[in-house]
Amino acid sequence: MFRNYQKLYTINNLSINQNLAGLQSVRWRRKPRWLPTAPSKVFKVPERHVLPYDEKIEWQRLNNNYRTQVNSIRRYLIKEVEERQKMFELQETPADEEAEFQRCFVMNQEWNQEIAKGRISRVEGENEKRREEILLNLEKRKQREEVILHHVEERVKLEKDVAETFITRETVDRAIEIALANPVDFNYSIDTNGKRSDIVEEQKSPENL
Amino acid sequence: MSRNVIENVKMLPRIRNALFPASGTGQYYPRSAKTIRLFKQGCTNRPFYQVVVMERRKAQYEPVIEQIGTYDPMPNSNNEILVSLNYERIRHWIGSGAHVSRPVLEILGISGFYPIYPKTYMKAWRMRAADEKKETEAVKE
Repeated sequence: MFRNYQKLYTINNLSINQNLAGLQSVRWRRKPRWLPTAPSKVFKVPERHVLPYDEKIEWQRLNNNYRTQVNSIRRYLIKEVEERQKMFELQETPADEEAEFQRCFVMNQEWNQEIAKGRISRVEGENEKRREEILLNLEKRKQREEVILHHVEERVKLEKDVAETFITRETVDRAIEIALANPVDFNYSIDTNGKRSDIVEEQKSPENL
Repeated sequence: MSRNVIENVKMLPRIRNALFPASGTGQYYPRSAKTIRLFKQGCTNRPFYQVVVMERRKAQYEPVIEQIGTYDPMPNSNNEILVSLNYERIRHWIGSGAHVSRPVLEILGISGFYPIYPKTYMKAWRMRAADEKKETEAVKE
């Protein structure tokens, strides 16, 4: 039973070969508590270490002295901490706390007023700057709109010029006549540039009709 | 009173953290038993300890109340073992009834805060005896 477990908890030297392929890391080398005493240790009585007599006496003397000294130091330190705690408590009565709060409050008010003065002048300057900026922006916008208007008017003028050739209700009959007089034949070929490869027939102008 | 003191008694979720500010993150009851002990930091084959204040019932790597020192057990290039201790806080915590663990008592003894810990004397005389034995053997040979 234990031998089976032992395989799991001890290093098996045979498994450590040259290329370490079979290397098994062993984390828990101790016998688990629930296993019985190993057969080889059943009748082993561990040797009891006994201090020599003079060493024992010396050891006891040292320990006694040590304990006495440490206890006195501890007591001293405990007293020290208690006294500090008392002092701390004495320092801070509610009245003291209130006075301290008032002192801080007044000081804070003074600081606030000083800072407020600076803030007012700063905010005024900032407002002035902003006003100028806005005016500048308005001016810029006006100029931009003028430019746009100019472009629009030009475009309108152009369109009006072009509009003379539009087919309207009045000119539709004449347009039809021109179309009938100029039948277009799309049965031709074009070259790679999109030009007609054959000779282009001259279009009959409406004046020639 | 510290922000970490638990005033209403109830179980709080345990938060484990290895690194913490010196003021500590551990929550504790005001009247619980405290202890000054070593908190092992460092890594494999490179131990390093922080001297911390903790609730005594807590395990080693629980959040601490306060860090009050460091202890580097490995000698440096000048063969020095460096220890730093915040005496003011140690005075406060011992004065507030904190216990002190054995390794910390040894450090406090050597640093002169407490009397020398008896185990330190014992180690010393044993080492001295071993050295003497070695010397006599060398002389005999």
